[in-house]
Amino acid sequence: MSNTVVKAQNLTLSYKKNEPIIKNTKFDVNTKDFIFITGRSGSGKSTLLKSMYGVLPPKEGILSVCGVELNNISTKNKIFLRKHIGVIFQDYKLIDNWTIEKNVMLPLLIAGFSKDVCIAQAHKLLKHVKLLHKADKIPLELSGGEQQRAAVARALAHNPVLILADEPTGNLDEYSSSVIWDLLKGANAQLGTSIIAVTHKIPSLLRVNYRHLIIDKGEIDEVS
Amino acid sequence: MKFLKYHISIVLPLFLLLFAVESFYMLKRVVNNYEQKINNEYSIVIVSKVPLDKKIVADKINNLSELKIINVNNVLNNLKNNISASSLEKIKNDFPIFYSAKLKYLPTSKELSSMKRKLKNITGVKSVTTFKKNYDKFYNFLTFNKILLLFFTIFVSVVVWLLIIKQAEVWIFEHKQRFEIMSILGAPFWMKSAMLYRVVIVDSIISSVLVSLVFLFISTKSKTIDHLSGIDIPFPQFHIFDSLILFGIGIFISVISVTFAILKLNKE
Repeated sequence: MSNTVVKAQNLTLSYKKNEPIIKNTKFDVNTKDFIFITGRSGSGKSTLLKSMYGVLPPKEGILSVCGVELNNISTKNKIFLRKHIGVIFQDYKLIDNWTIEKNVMLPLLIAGFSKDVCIAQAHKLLKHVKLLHKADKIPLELSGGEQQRAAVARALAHNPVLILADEPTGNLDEYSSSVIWDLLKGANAQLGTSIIAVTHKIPSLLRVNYRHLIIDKGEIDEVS
Repeated sequence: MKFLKYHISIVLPLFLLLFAVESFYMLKRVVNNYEQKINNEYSIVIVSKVPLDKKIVADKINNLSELKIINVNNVLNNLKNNISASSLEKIKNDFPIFYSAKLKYLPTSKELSSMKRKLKNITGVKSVTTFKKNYDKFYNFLTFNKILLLFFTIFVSVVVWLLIIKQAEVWIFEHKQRFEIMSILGAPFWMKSAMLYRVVIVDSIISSVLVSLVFLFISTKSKTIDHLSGIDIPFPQFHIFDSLILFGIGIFISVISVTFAILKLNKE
């Protein structure tokens, strides 16, 4: 299998007839890469991430994620791709009326694992993110930091090749943010999961070798 | 209470639809029973100078089930005391043969006129008598009601279909976040929609059971039986098979509606 997880060539992204948000750009993401994407508000960071999980197809150029080309992607391929990546959002996107345990189990249920396997894996991950004691609570009963830890557990549940994190600590205090970054760092170091995180600010205390992409005026530059 | 609130919006229109469908089927059975009854009592009388071949008559009447000679000996025997034996023998020889033609189903007035015309063309046939007029009025009234109920059922089906689609859209809106999250995580169509399908399947079961109970009650306890027995029509029984048909119709309409609403959302 190729070492490249994401490959973008001459990639242009835009919403319908509007001006391009990302213009004719090129970048690669390899296995075990930890990448931060930064840029001003509205620069297209989240748009780039959305295009990577098949919400916004490329207008021009080529974008492939986990070997799946996203240009004119079929529903079947989109489902395949999404089963192999994990996504973390700023607003957590946990299902309100489901317990934390069921939320974490969701990617495994989608992948078709038996309920026993799903429960065992969910408990293992909830223990890892120190939320096992709150497994039967619904998201609203948890703090923002706890909800985001549950979202990280969900993103890791199916051992994805790639995790896309859109402002994962945007709503969190400093302590909760550091917990989230540590969890992502652990997944990257121990499981070899590639991480692409969109953020306003790179955490200063994160001891990890990372790559830094900056989006400015639709162009992506890598800071060495 | 929450269960009732959640389900009533589908159970009520489905109940209305299934009630209309079952009413139509019941009336159809009443009409069929009446048809059967008058068909059993009904026959065409053919008077012929020569014996008739059943095959020739069957060629003229497609739905002929039986052709029987009417025994007129009793009538002729009544004349025994009034006329001489030789005269009686002469009358017997000159007397035409009376046939009773039974039909497989009750013909329409148009079909009957055509049959009468064709039968008269058979060599030897002197006259053909039909008695259809005696039954026509009530039969036509029942048939008219059946057609009216059919139109009503179709109209109700369309309205119910639209109502269920609207309700499914409301549900989808309520669960939009769940749909969106499951989509992002790569859930297939059936998995995202499983909850909605579960609800409409439960609602179809509830509606078909309710309608079945109502018709079971009507067909066993109600005064309706007395009304129909007054006009010599047996009241059709409600069969368990009807419940399955009602459930099938309920499932079909609701599943189609929910699928339609989900596909509409996916397109948007």
